[in-house]
Amino acid sequence: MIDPQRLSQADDDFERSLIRSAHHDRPSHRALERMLLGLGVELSQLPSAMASAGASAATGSKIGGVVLAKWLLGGAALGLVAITGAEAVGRAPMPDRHASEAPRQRIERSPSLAASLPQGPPPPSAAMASTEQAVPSVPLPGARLRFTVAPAREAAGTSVPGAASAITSNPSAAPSPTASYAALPAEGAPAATTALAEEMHLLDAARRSFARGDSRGALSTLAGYERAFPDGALRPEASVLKVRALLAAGDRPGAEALGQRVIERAPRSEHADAVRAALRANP
Amino acid sequence: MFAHAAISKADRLEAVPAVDRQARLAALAREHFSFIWRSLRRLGVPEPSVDDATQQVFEVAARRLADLEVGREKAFLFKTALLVAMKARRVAARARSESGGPELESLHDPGPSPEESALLRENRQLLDRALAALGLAERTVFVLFEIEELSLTEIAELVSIPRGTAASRLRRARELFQAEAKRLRARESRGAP
Repeated sequence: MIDPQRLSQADDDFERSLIRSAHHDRPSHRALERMLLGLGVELSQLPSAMASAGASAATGSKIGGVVLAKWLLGGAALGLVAITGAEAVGRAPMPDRHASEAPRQRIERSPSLAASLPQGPPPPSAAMASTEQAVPSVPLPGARLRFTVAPAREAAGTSVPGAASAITSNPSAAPSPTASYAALPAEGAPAATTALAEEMHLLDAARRSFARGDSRGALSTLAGYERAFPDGALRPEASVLKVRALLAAGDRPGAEALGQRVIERAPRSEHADAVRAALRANP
Repeated sequence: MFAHAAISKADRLEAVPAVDRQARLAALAREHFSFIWRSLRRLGVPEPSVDDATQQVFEVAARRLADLEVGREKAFLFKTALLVAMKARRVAARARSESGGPELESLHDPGPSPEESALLRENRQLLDRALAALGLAERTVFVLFEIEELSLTEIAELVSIPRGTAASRLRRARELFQAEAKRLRARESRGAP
């Protein structure tokens, strides 16, 4: 089946320039570095990944592909050191295509903006090939920088090879790359993302129960979710599922009461729409 | 039930050797970090929060590594990103309504020169305004097709919807986007802020 032509290739200059502006939007390599540290992946063992993050995305993809290919083969002795110098043998499915394409593109003016901005051709530096290196890593005011206990360490105790020097459970003892984190949680503070993973796990379990027709089981799991996460991030999703489960279990008054609360809380949200649809489908 | 779920999760985590976990996480990050970061941004996460939101997505993946089906990692990450984006949008909307002010502007200067940075910022601000006219379902398909340049078949697989549904959402999204772009263009040509 043939896809329609993309707006980035269409005739409308304004729409094209808006769409293409997003192709230049990308994280700084520092962001990737911080995230890997947060995941407990030791940076010193990923020299090629960190040195070339974004700048040589095609190469990076190949390296990532090698790592993934090796993981797929299930090599128990796989070490991160093996990543260095690895030769390209394949790519993971559905690779990040902008990582390699965007650097070749040039910035376009949206036509209506052109009149209000300095005129003249862009300098040779307009090509975005070096954008990522040029982006300084600045702690953003208002950003909630977290630094949770590394999941890898959490999962495997303190004996993760190579991880110990990269991150400790005490953020204040972490090495220099973490120094820019101004608001680190105290040791032992609950990790928001751990909670989110747990929330997702419980909701998935409830969805599976509901999908196989076990609405009582779904309600029981959702009750556990509500007890564990009274202010959970996924409460609206849980409420929509609960409305459906209540309807399936024959408790229409309960479903209507909960549905009404969801709708009142955010009448124009997708959750409200989902509740309305569920109530309509089960008169 | 909750305790049972927690025990099961711990069991699954232990099933993946630590070194393999690191390798797989590194591979996931290398392969999908930029895609997830851009997706979160275009799905409406305010720029100052995008790094944080991206980290949340990958931390969830790290917690669920044993559940991650090989070949479906991108879909898992994107679905997680959708949930994280929905949460971030709610938080941002609440903050806006409490402060009465607009979303925080980007402090992230992506361009190599001041003029180009200004152009990119302006264009991206206009893009964000146009995207804000779309509901999340339409916006998701629009972003994946028009910006990430995935095929409709890939999008259908990623979002777990039929291809026909992806196509109809894209049509609807384009109508909304083009109407908003037209309005923004008219405003820009009048010199309105």
